[in-house]
Amino acid sequence: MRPRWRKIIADLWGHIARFILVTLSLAVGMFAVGMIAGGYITTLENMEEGYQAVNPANIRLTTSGFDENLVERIRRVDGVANAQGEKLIFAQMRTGEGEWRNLILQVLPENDQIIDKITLLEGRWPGEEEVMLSVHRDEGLNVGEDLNIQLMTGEARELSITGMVRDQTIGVAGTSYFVAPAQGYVTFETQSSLHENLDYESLLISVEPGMSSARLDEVAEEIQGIIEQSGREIDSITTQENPVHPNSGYVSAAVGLLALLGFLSVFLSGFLVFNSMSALLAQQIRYIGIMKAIGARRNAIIRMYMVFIFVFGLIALLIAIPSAAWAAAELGSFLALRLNYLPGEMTYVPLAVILQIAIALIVPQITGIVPILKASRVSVHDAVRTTGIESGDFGKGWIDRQLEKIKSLTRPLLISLRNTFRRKGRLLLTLITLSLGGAVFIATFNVRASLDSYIEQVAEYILADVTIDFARPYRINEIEDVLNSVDGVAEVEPRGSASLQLLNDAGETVENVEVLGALPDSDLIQPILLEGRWIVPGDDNAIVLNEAFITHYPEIDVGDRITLDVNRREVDWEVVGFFQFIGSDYFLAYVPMEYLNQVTGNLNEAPNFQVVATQDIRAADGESALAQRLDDFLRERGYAVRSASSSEEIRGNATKGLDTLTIFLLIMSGITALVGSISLTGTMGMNVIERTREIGVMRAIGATDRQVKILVIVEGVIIGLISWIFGTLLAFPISALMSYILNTAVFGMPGEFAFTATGFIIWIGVVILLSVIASILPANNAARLTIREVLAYE
Amino acid sequence: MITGVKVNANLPWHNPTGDPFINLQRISKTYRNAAGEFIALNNIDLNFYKGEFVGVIGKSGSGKSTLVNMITGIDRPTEGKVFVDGVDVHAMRESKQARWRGLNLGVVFQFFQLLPMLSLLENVLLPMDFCNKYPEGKRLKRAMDLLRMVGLEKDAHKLPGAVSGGQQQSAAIARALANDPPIIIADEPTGNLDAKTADSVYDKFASLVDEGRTIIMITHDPEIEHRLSRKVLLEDGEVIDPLLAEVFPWLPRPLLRQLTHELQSDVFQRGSSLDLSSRFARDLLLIDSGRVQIQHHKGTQKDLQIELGPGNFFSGRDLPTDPDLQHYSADIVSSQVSLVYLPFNAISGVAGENHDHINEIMDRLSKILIGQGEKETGEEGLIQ
Repeated sequence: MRPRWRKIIADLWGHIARFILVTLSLAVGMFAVGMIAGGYITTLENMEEGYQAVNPANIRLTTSGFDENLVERIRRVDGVANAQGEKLIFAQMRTGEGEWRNLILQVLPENDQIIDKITLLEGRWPGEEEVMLSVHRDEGLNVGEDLNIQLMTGEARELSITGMVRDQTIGVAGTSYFVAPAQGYVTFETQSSLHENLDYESLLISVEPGMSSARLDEVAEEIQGIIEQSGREIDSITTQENPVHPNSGYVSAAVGLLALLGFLSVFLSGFLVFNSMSALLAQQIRYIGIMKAIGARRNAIIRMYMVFIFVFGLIALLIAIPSAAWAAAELGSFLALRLNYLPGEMTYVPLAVILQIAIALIVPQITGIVPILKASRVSVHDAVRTTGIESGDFGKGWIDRQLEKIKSLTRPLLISLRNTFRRKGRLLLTLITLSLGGAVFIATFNVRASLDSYIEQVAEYILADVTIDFARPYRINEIEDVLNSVDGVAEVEPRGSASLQLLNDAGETVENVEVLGALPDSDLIQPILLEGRWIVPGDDNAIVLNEAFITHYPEIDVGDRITLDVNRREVDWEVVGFFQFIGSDYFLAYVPMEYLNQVTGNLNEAPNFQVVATQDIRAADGESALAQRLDDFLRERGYAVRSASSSEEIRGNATKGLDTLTIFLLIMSGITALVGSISLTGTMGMNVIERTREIGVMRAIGATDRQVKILVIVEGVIIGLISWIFGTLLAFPISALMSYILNTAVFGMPGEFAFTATGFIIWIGVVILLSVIASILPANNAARLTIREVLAYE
Repeated sequence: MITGVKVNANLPWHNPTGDPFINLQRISKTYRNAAGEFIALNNIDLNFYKGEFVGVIGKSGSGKSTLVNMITGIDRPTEGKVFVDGVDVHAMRESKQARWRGLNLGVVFQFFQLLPMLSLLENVLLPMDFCNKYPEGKRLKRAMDLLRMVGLEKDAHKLPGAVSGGQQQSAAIARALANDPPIIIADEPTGNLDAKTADSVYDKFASLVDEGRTIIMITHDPEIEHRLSRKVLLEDGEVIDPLLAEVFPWLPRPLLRQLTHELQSDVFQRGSSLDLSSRFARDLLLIDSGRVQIQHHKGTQKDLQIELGPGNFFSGRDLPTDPDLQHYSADIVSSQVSLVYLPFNAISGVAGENHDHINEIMDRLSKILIGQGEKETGEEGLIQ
């Protein structure tokens, strides 16, 4: 091996700690980019491909009972790829903790599942009197245990749990994924033993691939016609040209944030690499001088150091690529398990690898070329002379002059403060890295605050303490009397509910709308109005629509009339306002309850009751216990209770998806903070290396180990605190951007933007802690240096 | 080897009186690296006394800095102990040692080593902050006083980069005095300064010695030697015997170092005679202290009488020994004489093939014995 290459190896080996520090800095930068890019692509692919693999239905309709003959008839319709009958049985189940919860039992088709397929994760397919459970809700039950259920008839049964499945279609129809009840899967045989009739009630249809929207509508119409011709009536129908996973909004939010962070992380990594390389090369100037003195030409030196940098990049790359792929897979799993799709295997995503290679091999070379050229221009004399302590840049700029004016601090503190500004370029890059990390961290809390404000909004519609859902409407007076007889109940208010269809001008169904009937003067709802007004006493067919209508039907204005199909009857409603709810594609409307009951024919009846607890129950946080008591009480008296839930529980379920995003965001901000703190460690390490002589001098004049460590740590903390200031400023636009991405993806609109001091306060603690941790290693190194080494007398 | 302390401030190879302020006991330092072992200091016994201005002299790699580092605690000996004012320097933990150093030793470096981000004043305040010897309220005044003493009061608020090298070194001296240490250790403090500036630095050191401080200075500068109260010559990690170095300054230092190993010594009382014809016939005798009277006899006639004092040497080698024809006698004429002697065969063994050095010694010896080559000393010198 030629001596010059041996020198490179010796340089790497001779300063192994520095070599590890720089390599890790580079690797962390590449890791962040690789993980984020890999996570972005695998998350999208896993959800998309995984969802297509379940063969989701393009058309879903519910109608009165039908059998396999009708399914077969539909399969023959031109354009239909396949069809499958389905039936849902509503029941209650006892959880592992002994509480009663809603359960939907889906009856598996007689033949193999072909549409909306579920994936068996554990155990086996069920036989008679057996059940599989969906993993989307952890009810504390395992394979091999018994599931106690109570049918709507009040009959209790016991089914053996044979398996756990992932059903990616939960949330497509009915309630959203995060509030969807537990779901079980039973066979046709079990269904009959549950005394249910054997008919299907809903039909799932997949169409030929690539079908246009217009053609899909034609096919749906034809199917509708066939069913109606068979004497059945269609309760609801939805079509989806390209079915997307019900939680795709959350995934879009996550990947949108990943894209933003990925963009930031490329810069962060670039800065980190630049900082590390320039500091490393600064150490080599003396050797460059020596080599020039013995005849090395400038080009040879440049070539040597480019190879030197290449080696660093390559080693860091070898660390970063597999670790990033692993982390991307873990990130994917995190999202997949929480957003109900199947995680993929660890994979090397080409784009992520290419980005990492680019950062490993191009960024260091680009960033290294400046210091290399500078170093290679250094005169032999300048390079080899030993001049004692280098002054760095200190003393030349405006900031230095201002710092010189500060006299009131102790000298050690002054040293830390002024040292901070010795290498301004390095400081700037470190600040950018750490500030961006901090900004993302703070933004996470602001975004969370913005989500919390959303949750508060949702809470405004559920001001009651307990919500009771019955399987069928009950007389209002009767239920009010029963409930008022229970201890702890202060007030009862009925609420109507109907699933109606929005019709277009041609009288065709275009959307299913959940219509809630409320008392116009109810004080249990405090709506957030976007336009117009809420329902008021005296209103008849007034209707207030949620923001989904604004997004999907912007042509509908306050004062317009819309038509809803109520039990095959077209009923006109006057739009009096729009309210803010949970956005997305969930169509919701409030109407006066009395009018709703009138048009649905449920006079003086309601399926839902809102209960306000007495003050003592509220004060003792006893709402959940009250809900449980009411549930037991009503069941004992033979009422078909579907659920009795405290508002807290409802809000908790509604915000589970948002919690997932918040945790995800925290992980991301943790990574950016990590990149920032490693950058700081690198900077502090390089600063210490550069200042070994100074440290030696300080110890020679009486500084103890502890005093030297404190000097270094205080400098790190000062950098951390400055970065906090910049981070707080940067947090505003980044919070706004992140909130925009998240709200748009999840709720389909930008949403309200909120700030909270929490993020700013926590970050100042975290950044101080990170600064101290990042400085401890360099500080210990500084304290360990023997004065003899650093003063190098001979 | 000279042992025991004699009262004679005018003999440059003699230690001052009293207990040593700094005491190095059997100090060895060995560095181990890939190339093997390197002995930087080899079994050194050395004392420094209060108020001394000692120059540590030696060529590059001779162990000067290592020796000084042993005193400051900057480096640890492989063997041996260092006591400064009775404190075992290397028995202290490093942090305690740092504070001790800050209070007891002022270090002045060749390249000044002022911290560039602090003004000259702040640099002087820094050791006070580290060691807390002076109350905070008094530090500023003391720092200003020190800067005034070195003539820098007007530049107190300038950064080191804004003043000259000489001024930086003056500030460094002020910094070294910050905690009023009794000892100043200076590592080639003028190595980076011009002659005039160097001179002013030496003046400052001289006045510090006058104040009673002990200064140990590594130096290459021959100009300073006359200002020193004592020199410690180092060669290959060993201290050259100061009497040898004084008596044979023309001998190469490696030779002096080897001869140091061969030295023997003895003390003789007044009235006794040295037997040049037998016991000392093969030795070179160096007078460490006291007086010896050499007489030349021809038959019964005494035709030459020389009195030799400290720093002179004589020998019985090649002298006529027939008491009937001619012979030399050596009598102790002071209360006592301390002699250091070297066997000639040891000198020949050390000098090897190179006879020039022995010839030179013999030549000077013969001149002394005819009364022409005696060394003048602080005592009475030559009496004919």
